[in-house]
Amino acid sequence: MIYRIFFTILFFLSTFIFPWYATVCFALLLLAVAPGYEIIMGGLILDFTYGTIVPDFFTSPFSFTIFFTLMFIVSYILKKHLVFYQDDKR
Amino acid sequence: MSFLQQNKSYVRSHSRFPRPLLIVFVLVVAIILFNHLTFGGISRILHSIGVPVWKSQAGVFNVFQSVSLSIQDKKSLLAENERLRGEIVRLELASLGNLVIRKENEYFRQILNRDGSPELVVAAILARPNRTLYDTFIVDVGRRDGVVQDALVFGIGGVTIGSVDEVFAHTSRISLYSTPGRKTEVLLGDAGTELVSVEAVGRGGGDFEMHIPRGIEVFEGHAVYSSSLGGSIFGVIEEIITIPSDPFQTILFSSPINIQSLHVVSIELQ
Repeated sequence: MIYRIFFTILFFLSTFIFPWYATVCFALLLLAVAPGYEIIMGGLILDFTYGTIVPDFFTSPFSFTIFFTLMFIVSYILKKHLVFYQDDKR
Repeated sequence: MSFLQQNKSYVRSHSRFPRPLLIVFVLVVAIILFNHLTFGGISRILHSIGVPVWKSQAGVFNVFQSVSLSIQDKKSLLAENERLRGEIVRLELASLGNLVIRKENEYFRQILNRDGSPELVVAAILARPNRTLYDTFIVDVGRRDGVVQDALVFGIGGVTIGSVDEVFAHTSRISLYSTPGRKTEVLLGDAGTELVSVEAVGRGGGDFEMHIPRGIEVFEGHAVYSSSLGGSIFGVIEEIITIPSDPFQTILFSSPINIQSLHVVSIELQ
């Protein structure tokens, strides 16, 4: 639980302070220790703060929200198949 | 419970789509709709939260920079100082050569009754383009300072680098022309030749590319100009790619200023 709180705070702070690749790293750490629904909210924060229509990113100003949602879904599927996560608490 | 019943309930409980995720999806859609209905209400809130964070970060960074300067070797600082002095002299000489052209430009503007430089406001950069992949940055001036959407943004030396994407009360989001896929009309040519209008496509981070017929003669180091009246330098050609079987050539050019090292920009007030 303490890890989840710690990485959640780091993740949300990184959306304002650190470059995007640091935010992605913190998102991965959060997914490793918790279900990680927070990363989708983090994607929304990035998009609302910095987002604009980018022709090369499917013209969507919600690229990070989509990216983090996909990350979450992939982690959900992976965790179902990993023995390490066959635990009700995770 | 038999083994089959246990297995079924295990598979059922672990294959069901998690309810919290459905709730998060509904929440995300609701937030996006709310932001749209309030004309960027959530973006405004995030920017007002972000301003003190960004300013504190800049303050901490300045402190670290001062500390690192104080412990830097004195010799290397003197060498750097000497190199920069030489660079200043070289640039001043180059600027003298442009003085005649600038005077001529002012004269023609007066004749065409397009006199008067645009009014500009200086803005400090709060969050740099490397924060996300959007090639946008945040500045500390907004609606209350007279900034409007789509206003032109200039870097050092009057180089056009982008436009205002969205304006908030005290901040603005600037979208660079080099945003991946963004198309901008530019002028290509050299002294003594006719300027050709070409479409440049952004590649991110101050880089652009354009495809032009091979008949148009260009060289590495040539300038690319903005298509607006009084066209400032938009970029400098870095590489020309030609394939014998292709009737077109690909020109790669980049902005003459390093976007990542900018601390302030100028925004046109309309």
